[in-house]
Amino acid sequence: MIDTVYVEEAVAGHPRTKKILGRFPEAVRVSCCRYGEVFNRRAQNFRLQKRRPALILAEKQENYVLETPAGLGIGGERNYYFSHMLNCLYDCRYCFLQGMFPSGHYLVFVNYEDFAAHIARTAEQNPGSYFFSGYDCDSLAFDSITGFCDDFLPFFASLDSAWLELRTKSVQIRALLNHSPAARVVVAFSFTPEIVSESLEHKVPSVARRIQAMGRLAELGWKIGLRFDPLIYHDNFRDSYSELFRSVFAELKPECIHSVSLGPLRFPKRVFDSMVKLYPHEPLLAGPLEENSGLVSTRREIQEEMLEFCRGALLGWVPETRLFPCAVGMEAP
Amino acid sequence: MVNLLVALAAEGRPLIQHFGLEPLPGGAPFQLFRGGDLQLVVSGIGKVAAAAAAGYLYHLNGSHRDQAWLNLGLGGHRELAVGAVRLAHKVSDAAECWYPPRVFPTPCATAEVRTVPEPERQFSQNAVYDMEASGFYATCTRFSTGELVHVLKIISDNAAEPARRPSRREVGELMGAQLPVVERVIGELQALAAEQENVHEDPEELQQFLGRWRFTVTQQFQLRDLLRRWQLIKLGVSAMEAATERQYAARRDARHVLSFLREELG
Repeated sequence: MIDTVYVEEAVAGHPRTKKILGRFPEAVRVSCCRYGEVFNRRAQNFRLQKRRPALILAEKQENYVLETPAGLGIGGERNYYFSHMLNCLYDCRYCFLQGMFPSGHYLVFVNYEDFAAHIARTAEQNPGSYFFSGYDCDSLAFDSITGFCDDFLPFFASLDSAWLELRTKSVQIRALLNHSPAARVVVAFSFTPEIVSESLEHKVPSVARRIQAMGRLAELGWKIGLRFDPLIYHDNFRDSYSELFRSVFAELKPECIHSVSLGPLRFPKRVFDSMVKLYPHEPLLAGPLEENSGLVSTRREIQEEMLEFCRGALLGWVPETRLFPCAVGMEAP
Repeated sequence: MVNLLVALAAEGRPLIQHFGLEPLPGGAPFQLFRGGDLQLVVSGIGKVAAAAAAGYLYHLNGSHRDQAWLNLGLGGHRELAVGAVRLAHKVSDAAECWYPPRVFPTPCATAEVRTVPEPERQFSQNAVYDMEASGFYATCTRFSTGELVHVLKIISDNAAEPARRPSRREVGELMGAQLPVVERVIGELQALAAEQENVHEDPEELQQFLGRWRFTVTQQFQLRDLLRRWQLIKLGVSAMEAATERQYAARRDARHVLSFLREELG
């Protein structure tokens, strides 16, 4: 339920602004000069704002497309990300966004056309590149409001060789069902075992519902990505991850699987410290963790044990060529 | 603690009566009233006075961060009826804007509150005009998160009767009529402030450690963090008992105690 929408003056007349505002006729509309006046202010509390986030509609003015940190690829030579939205409907306790942004409000950049122009230019210069859309938000969770898929699926279909990854924990697949499966779009679902999801992934649809949504898309011919990232250490992790893998792969024919990635729990120290300030009573942030070179992550021996176990288990379902370990600084939603 | 700030004693009177606040001795430089976890300060007119009163009260309260703050008072609006109440969704003055994040159900409509140096007669913008809010908000958000700082204004004049000066009795009536709304906003702020206090409360056994060993300021931060983690990881196990059971830890200094806790937490 959104009861306040901040609208940047520059996009007040943008057709997408009007369309989105039409979805919230009862919301209070507050005009602002630049979104940073609201979103980047000091003296804000991400955790408190998550109780009742507002929506900010703004114009992206620079850095439309950025290279991903090394190690985040799923088979392409060049990897980029773009963020039409910052923040997420969900509230996962391991998510780096809560330590990254000062505000918990949802920020949507409505000038998709500018993103598209920059993506097209980048794609032309770097054929076969991958573009990740779910780095600073969940790609699908807010789609019924943003209309992201209806704009970007046809756009990516018009590009010669660029790939799009939609990364999600959502079961909002209606927009995808309205389009034919796209040849170079990967719908990537993030999973943790049910026991972990229930305690750490607040407001996220259950693992079973996500598997169901994923299975439906796979049946229709969409390429599916599986993201077991971050791996969360807990008692009996072998049993719960084995169970998760069994449930997920029971719904997928091997040919539907585009890629599987996995990675340890890890945060830049600055982000981790902010998260601890917000949630000092969260056991996940109390250990077993260690800090190395500005990165806080699961203790090395546990990390290696988990990665080795999960990698071995996954190789029972997917060939090594489709398995991509991640080892960089942040958790994508 | 919820701190209420009004410009005029007449604006504060209905609140003082309703919440049973008692005057605090002194009365200088600002009149203060307290009852339960509510405090009220009478700042005088203008944003500088409001900023000064808020800062004064903050220090008087022991400079505790993340207390809740509410500026209550009268304001003008070009078309709203006299007696209407509005919570600020934006506070502005000639130099700057602020956007108080509202994370609770709002018990009344919202509006921009624009702070001006003189009583407003033109009402050129669709805003509630007042003379304190920007000074109050800019100051209070230096020591509390914005979700805990709010501005609630009751309309005393409009374009039909600009800069009308209500009598003390009328001021009291205007404020008194909106007490149910005031009470609800205060209730929400109390809950938020309590939540923040709970988040920031000291770990169990902190005081025992501080009483037994001498920690530098930096070590106190480290100790607080280690005990926080201890509480989450070693459920039901006393850090103090564990530390004192180790003879060597009991005899040695704070540095060794911190090392011991680190080792135990792995």
